[in-house]
Amino acid sequence: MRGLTHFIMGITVATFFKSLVTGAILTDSWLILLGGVFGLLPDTLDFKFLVYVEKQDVVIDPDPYDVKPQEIANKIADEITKVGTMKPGEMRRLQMHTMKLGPDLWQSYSIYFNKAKSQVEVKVGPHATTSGIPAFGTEPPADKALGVAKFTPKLVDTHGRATEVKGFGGPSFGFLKKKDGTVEVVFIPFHRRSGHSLTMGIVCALLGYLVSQSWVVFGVIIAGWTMHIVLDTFGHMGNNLFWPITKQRTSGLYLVSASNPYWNAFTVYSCIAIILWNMNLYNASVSPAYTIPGISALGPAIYLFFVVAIPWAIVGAMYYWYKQKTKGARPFELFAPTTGAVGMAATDSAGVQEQEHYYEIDEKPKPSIILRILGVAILAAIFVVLFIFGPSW
Amino acid sequence: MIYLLYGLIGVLIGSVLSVLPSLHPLNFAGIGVFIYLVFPSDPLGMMMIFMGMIVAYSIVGTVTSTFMGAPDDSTVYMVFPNQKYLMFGRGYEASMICGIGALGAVLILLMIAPVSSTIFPIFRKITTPHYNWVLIGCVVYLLQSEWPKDFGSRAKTKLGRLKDGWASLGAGWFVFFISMMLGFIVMNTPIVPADRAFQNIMPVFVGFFAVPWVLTNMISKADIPPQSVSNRFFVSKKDMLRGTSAGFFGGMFAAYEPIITAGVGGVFAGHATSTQGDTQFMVSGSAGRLTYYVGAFFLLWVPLLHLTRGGMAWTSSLIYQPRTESDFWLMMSAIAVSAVFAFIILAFVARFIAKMVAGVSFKKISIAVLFVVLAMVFGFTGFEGLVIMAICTGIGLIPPMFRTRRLNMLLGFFFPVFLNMIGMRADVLKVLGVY
Repeated sequence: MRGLTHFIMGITVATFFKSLVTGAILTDSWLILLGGVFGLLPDTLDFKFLVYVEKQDVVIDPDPYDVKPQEIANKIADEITKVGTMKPGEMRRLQMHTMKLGPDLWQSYSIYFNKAKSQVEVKVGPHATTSGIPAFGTEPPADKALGVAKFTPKLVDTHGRATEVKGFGGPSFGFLKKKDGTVEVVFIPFHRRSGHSLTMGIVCALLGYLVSQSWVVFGVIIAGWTMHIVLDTFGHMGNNLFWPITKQRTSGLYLVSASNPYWNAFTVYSCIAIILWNMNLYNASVSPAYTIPGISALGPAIYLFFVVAIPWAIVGAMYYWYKQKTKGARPFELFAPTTGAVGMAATDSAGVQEQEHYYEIDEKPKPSIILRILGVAILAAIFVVLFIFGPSW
Repeated sequence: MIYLLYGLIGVLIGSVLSVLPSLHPLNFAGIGVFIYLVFPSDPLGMMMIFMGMIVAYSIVGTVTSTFMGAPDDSTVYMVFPNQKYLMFGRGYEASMICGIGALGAVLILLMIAPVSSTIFPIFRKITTPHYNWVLIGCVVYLLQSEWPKDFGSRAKTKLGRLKDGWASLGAGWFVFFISMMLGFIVMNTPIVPADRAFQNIMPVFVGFFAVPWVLTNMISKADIPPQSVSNRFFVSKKDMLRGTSAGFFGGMFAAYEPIITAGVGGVFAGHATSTQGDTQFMVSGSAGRLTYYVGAFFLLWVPLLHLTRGGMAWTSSLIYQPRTESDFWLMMSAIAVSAVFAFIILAFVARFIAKMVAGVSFKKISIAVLFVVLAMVFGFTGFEGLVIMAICTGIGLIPPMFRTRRLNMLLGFFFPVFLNMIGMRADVLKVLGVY
């Protein structure tokens, strides 16, 4: 999910702690924000620290003006073959770089691990803007568009689709030698590992407790962190929940897509509705001037039904209908800005263009329906606990 | 009917002022009070003129960022796609898409008007004791959520890559800090002459946003290509719907919350709805801008709410306090009529400027705009204002150089106000020696 979604979800669970909300009113305490900060911290760790300290065994940095897809394919295939000769558990990491043509123009290319044919296929695509819109007509000639190279080991690719490399930073791949002799492709190996584990959340919460000597601080940190992990698990790419005990990242529950605007907007809206509910409820203990008893009297279920479920069912139906209607429609976009301030702002735009959504792939195997239902049940259970016990915290 | 006419007069005045780069609604408010003092008239009519001015600023004002490359804090959000369109001969189209986005926001404003006197007072009652942490939360989120823009560091060592990645983040935090220091000074020491103190923020905004953009444009060797003035606009219904709704909610959040500006609200709305693509940014940016400025004015008129937000509302509330529901509906009607009128003016102004700038060197336009901006700042705030503007320009050049968020300047600059709201201002000022 988007950064804001994680942040506001962290704030939401923090507002269940009555002492934090009343403390914010009476003493201008900012402790409530810990929920948001720790709700976003897993991504902060991954994309501001771990991405840089990841080992890079091989770096592929193609020349945007003379792309040689065959060379790229050869390098990748050689790496896979080399890993096939290594000991089980060993991994080599490969960093792909993007090809910048201008302030808002990139040379796109894609990498596909064709398991059936035991080959790597590198395709050079058209130029694309930072937001990923292709400039049709800029595709390379056929003889410079494709590179294919064979590898020897049996490959396990949890992604199963071509990885597009366009703007911002390129992805990294890990090639992991398994006990059964196969080589697994691990997409962006640094992501959703230690920084997205529940154990790390407990460590952070314990540190928070040691500093503050407050179990409420411990609770709000662990709640914010856990909600990040839960929301991410709902996507297509899972987490390494109990690092360092567990070694591998699991696949996600395939319930939502991290970059989907509907789910992000729905989650943010629902969080705001819950925050308002908690504010109204706890304001009553500070002053009757800041509360509307009629809303609290409804109970959370009826309140959420009218404020969240009904409007979003309507929006969802409209969204689905329109998505079906416009499937495959080409966006009305422009390419390549010019010089001057426009060029310098191509990747700024007040911070609206982010690369985080890029980092989610469909990891396989897709979990069973029981696991997926269990995921929703866990989320529901967390909120039931918060609604019931929050007023006493 | 006469009041609607007042609104249209306001649109005409606002349209003339809007095409002057660097003018801000705060200047408008000052000019409005000046008009009222020189030509005393019916206070309610004067309010309609104010409203017309702010509607015109929100709609017609987009031409300055599109054709002149002189954004303010609210248009910096969309100036990038607008200028991109300009350099592809589609500046007129960009302006009109922005205008359509703004009209969409007016439509949503009209749609929520019947329930606004129910919803907003409830919202206000519940959220009032929570403004402080919500505001600080916005700052914390914006500082924490900026991602590195190193585009894949090529450094060989881990430390080297970390350094590359943190160059933009570090610059962003530095910009926040230095802007905060400036905020403490500008808001607590009388730098601008006392008789012009109400314009003291103008040189800051101009220095932060307009001048760096103009200076950067001056290095451009491009000529503006011939502009198409066709009335075919390539914007999908999806972009319209998503852009307008995201912009509206971002703008309304900014209008409702003290200190939060349209740009900040726009970022929140963009993140919440995963806004993507140039047209969505343009629509969302213009919808957010209109909602921020007109929405803040609208909140003053909502029955049972009467929330004073924004410079124009504060200034105009000295002249007239809306009392009745009929006042509110009169204002809503005037907003609707004025918005349509302003949109028609935008079409003519954008078409006229599009024809005028074709073939002209962007460098020459930038130089001309710079002179206008300097003259305006000097005229409104004197030599002292120019000094503040120069300092802010220095700060404003850091974000484009290090590819960090320009919004950090606004956040930093207004941070002293946050501290004031939570009673920490005096302590910090003592430490700084400003108090």
